[in-house]
Amino acid sequence: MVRNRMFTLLCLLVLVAGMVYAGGEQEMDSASASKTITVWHFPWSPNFEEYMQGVADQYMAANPGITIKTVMLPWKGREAKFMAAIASKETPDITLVGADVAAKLEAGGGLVSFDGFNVDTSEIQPRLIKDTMFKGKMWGLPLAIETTAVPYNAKMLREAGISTKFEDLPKTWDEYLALAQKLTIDKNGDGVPEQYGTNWNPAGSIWGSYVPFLQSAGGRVFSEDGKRAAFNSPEGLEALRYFVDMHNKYKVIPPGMVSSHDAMYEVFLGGKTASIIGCDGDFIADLPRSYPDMEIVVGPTLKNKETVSQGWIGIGVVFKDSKYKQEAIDFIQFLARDDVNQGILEECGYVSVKTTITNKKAAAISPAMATAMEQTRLYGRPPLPHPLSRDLNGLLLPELQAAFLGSKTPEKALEDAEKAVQKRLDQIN
Amino acid sequence: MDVKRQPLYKRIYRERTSYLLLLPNLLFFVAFVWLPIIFSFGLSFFRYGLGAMQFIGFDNYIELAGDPRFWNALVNTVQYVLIMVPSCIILGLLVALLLNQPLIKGKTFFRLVALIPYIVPLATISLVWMWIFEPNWGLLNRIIGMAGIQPQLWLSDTTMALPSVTVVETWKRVGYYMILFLAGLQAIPPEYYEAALIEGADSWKNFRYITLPLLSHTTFFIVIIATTQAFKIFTSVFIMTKGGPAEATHSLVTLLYENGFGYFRMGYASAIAFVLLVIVLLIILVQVKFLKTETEYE
Repeated sequence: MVRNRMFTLLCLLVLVAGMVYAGGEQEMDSASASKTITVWHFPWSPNFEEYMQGVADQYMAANPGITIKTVMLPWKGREAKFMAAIASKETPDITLVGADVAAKLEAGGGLVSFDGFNVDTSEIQPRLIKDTMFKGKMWGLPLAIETTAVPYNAKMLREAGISTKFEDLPKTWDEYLALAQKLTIDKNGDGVPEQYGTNWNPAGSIWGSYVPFLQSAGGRVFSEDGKRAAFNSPEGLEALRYFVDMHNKYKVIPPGMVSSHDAMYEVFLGGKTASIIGCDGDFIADLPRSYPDMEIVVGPTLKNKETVSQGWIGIGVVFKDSKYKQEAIDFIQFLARDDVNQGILEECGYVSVKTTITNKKAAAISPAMATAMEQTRLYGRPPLPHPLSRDLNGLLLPELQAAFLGSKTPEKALEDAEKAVQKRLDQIN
Repeated sequence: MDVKRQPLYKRIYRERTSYLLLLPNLLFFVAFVWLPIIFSFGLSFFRYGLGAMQFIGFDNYIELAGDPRFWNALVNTVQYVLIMVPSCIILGLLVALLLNQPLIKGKTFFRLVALIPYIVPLATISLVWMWIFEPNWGLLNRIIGMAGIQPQLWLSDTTMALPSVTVVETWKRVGYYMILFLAGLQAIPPEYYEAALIEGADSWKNFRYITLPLLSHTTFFIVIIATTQAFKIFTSVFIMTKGGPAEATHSLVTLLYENGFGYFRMGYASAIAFVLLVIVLLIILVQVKFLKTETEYE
């Protein structure tokens, strides 16, 4: 009796499983009537998910037979998701990433080059196309540049008798250090400043913190052929020493800010620092709404031998396993179309990659935002499109932190970082 | 006929219903535990990640032996274990003893309160503690500031970061060990304490000669669990410090994660995983040999 019941149960299970399988097949068949392009994107703005869906709807209305499926992923762990997707051949068709991530995805065998496809790049700034190419090929279409800038607390500047005019604010490293010293104030005379002149920390990305200064000093991260670590140089040392001295010698940076990149913003908002080096544009854009009482001004991008700031370029890339590569590229081109691209820029507060449009809405948020965007447009450089660019954070940051906290000399820190990076470069070359 | 002398297939057939019922669990276990372990072990002999898979023999293990970051992470991990395991056991036992006292009112409430940190996800706890440790206006610095002590860089100082992370991990786990100890304490027959009372034993002697020996099974279990959990420390480090400052809190598992899912060096990460597995196995074997006792009072 028991045996019969178990047999019946087993048969039922097989039947149900078969029905589920058959149902799934049927769904796939009906879906395959149109070409489905899946887009993985990230929260470029708080409402970007809804915004992208609207863009997808607009595209689908104009292109019957194409279904755009947008999927928003969190920033955290995105590379692991990409690599798992590549390994399991379950990639989306398109994603929107930085050129540094794209280089890593390509090294993992995940991307298709745009060379040989029908792509119109005529309106995109040529230098941005060049900055996002690697291995001599084009792997994606630049869509937007994230703003970075050097903001100052206007009230603190006035209190210290310093002009808030753009042209009067520091233009060079030395001028900036002098201003930071002026703005570092020990109000109660206990030897511990209540207000610090600036903030910089080796906790987020080296591409936003250290590398722009390395490049400004005339140095480079990798050798021209990408096979050698090149940052352990007099220029690299000059850049690192600049921050180490600001922290340890001149004490114009709050001590020990290495546990979190976001902590820099919290301290600035809390009125403990007068300025931030390498501040993200979305922070500046959000200030008038979230902190209407805080008045800030944005100063010039700092210059040593060159004037360089970080400018994260978002590019649309297509995965190798995409069934509809040209269709995917067509959708990316739709994202770059003037009216659509203008909307994306305005939604996200980003700077245009094109010469034909400007982000007037973001510039209208505040004079500070307008200045920040203009500075990024002029001096923003994206992270290098190199397979190891992303990994440099894990390899270099600990050494920068050691120097910053005084547990290693800047020379020793760069030497150890170089060894670690070179070992990895030798493995991938 | 002696069942043991039957051929294997006959024994399986005889117990087919039991095996059939076990099958789903067994399949799940093999598919999601054993196969990944075997696959991962195989992977440790390959260079696999960016680019094609390439057999490299013991190269990953050789590289590991010469990697200063690995040795730093190993030393850190051992420190976590050495601080966390005794702290968790001592605090868990103390809280359990306290909440097992008949005189304390609202014991159920306090037990629940003590267990809450264990129920809350470690990611959430880590974020809350980051605020507590925040150097400029964090709660902890405010409290010590009232006592005239200078603010401390709890997570940014290379000497303080690891103990700070350990405090969070210990705080999270104490409630769970407390519940286990409490179960052990309640399984001790009260007659022993009554007999000891008649013999004139004081509280310390009760604890030393009755409670502690009869908790040996529970303690042994907790030592094993606490040790393996401490070796696997990850979430709090990943969220609170990302292994910093200057790698002062990097554990073997965060290093493994960084290599596997940050750098996509799956072979190298698998090698780290296997070294970790061997270390934990050896330590548990030692613990089994020296700690396992069979205390029973008649």
